[in-house]
Amino acid sequence: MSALSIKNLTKNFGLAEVICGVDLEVEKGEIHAVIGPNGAGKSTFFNLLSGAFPPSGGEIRLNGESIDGLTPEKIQQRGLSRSFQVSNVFVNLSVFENLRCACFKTSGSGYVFWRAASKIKAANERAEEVLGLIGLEALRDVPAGALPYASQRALEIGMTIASNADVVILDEPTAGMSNTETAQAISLIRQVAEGRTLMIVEHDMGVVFELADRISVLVYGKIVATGTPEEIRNDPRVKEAYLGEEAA
Amino acid sequence: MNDLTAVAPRQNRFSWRALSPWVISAAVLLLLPVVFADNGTAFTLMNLIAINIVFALSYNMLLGQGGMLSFGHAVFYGLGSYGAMHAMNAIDEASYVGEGFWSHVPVVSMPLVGMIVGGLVALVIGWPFCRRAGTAFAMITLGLGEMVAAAGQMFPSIFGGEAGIYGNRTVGPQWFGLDMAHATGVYWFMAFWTFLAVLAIWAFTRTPLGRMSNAVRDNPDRLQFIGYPPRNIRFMVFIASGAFGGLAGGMAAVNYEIITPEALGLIPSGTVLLMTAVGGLGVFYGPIVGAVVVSLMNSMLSDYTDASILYVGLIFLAIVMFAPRGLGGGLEQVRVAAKDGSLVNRLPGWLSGALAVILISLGLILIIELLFQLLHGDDATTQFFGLEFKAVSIISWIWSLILFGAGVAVMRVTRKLREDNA
Repeated sequence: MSALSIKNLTKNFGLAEVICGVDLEVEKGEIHAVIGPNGAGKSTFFNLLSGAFPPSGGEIRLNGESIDGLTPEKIQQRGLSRSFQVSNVFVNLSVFENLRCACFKTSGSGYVFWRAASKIKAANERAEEVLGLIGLEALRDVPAGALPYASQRALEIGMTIASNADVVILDEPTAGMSNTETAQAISLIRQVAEGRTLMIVEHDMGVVFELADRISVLVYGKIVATGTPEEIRNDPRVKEAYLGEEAA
Repeated sequence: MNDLTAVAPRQNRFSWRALSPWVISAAVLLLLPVVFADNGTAFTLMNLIAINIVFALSYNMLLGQGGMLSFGHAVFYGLGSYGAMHAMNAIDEASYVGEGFWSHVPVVSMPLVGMIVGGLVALVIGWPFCRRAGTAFAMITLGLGEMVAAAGQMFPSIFGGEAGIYGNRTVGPQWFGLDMAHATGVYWFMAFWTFLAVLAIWAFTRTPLGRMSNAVRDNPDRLQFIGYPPRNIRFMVFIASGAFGGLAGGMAAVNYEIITPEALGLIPSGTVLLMTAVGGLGVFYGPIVGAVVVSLMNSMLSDYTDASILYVGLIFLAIVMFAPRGLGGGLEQVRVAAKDGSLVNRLPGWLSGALAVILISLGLILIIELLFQLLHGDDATTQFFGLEFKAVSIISWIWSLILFGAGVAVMRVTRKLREDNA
């Protein structure tokens, strides 16, 4: 069974059809990248998967269960967690507190008001673990809004995986990073991907070809090709999409 | 609203240091009646401040911690107060007969009744309110406040019409030998409940739900993607805040022994916002500072000037415009600077700034007082720190302009001192 099984997914905003019939199987444990030119509908595609928008039609199955039309928190509870293209953290909370808040769902303690947060053992341990994984121990008590950009991106990823979701989707995790920062981010993403299914939207082709097991190319709301990096590199339809018709 | 919001306190293991604010507060509460022994006015004021501290802190659970701007928080305070007053009357009747459930209930527990009423009201009405924060929430609570205040006039059997309802705090069983007929008895009652409520509200900020309320304030959209609907978190915070607002109302019922529908309306809802904003939303003790300062100003300033309400308004304006973190935020800045050793560098800038503010304020106060005398006064003289100023004399006006100008000059000259270390 695929981790994510998407059939004939569509989304229109008014008359504009942004996603027009996407079919995609994401295998368990793979790193699957979605690439495509600007405006191809990559972000919308991710927003549909994570429940930010309801789809207009089609079907999304997460580990065999239908999740289309569910609210984001329901989808998150079923084990699909996402990061955001623009850092989307709790700016006035410390790094550690951001992570701990992201861990409350797994320990089922977000509504607890009769015990101190520091006494919720599972959430604290998991938050410490993720803090170590994303390498922000030294910035533990800094408000997330005051973090340097790259650290904020790392925190963003940390919050996404804190819940131990088995399908993680990352929206442009290395956007705006320097080369060094990108290299660090890639190694973090590799670690994060262990034992999980990972979907990633990325503009940096270097990152995509280095990380991905398989790549799907989204153009004008349709997937024109899916395959290994090697297949994609040589696919004429992909060249056409990126370089215009003459190149094909 | 970054400037207005709190950085959640970092998590600490148990330490005597963390305990010290509580020990000091308890000591102050114990010492106050000794310092002000036999001073009836002081006791009246202290009780008023105690109520306002709890009221303002309960409000900050919504605004500062949860990011919900409410214009109807007095609904919970007022209904809690009504609930406690009716309970007090039930105690009165039951003790007269000498039997029944209420004959065993002491008046000391009335804040608990207020808390239950406030929490239940929030539970019943809150769900539709909490879908959105921001403007929608503010408008809905504004409507709620108006509606409940109007209902207060419409159901005289519950709310007592314009005259309100009365109670008697000396009835029923006495607990802990607390004699509510005496000012000291009432004071201990107030001190006990205030301390307990402040401790509980502080503890709430340290719980998962307390932290999630900060999270929903900072970024409700992200909250969904870590598995929680923002509305649920808001709703729970709303209930908690309503409960503590009701607790403050219960304290007020015992203190005043009268409650009128006015207590449900926009004026107390505005006052609690004012106290919280003056004290600062971003620091836990901010609303406490605000409650003390605004209560003192409201009740004492009118002894010295006819323009007291104007001054309260001006201070509110000045703080919102120039010091959005409030008085508590200012104190916190000084404390942090003292802790990291930068106080010496920053002190000249801050002190000169304070001097400038004092000079400007003095100038403004003199202008306001002179204007007031000119328009309303019989003798057209203003007592100003023991000096007499005549509104008809040009010299008085020159003085006020000199003070004001000197303040502005100091502010400009020393601006660099503050910027360099900012």
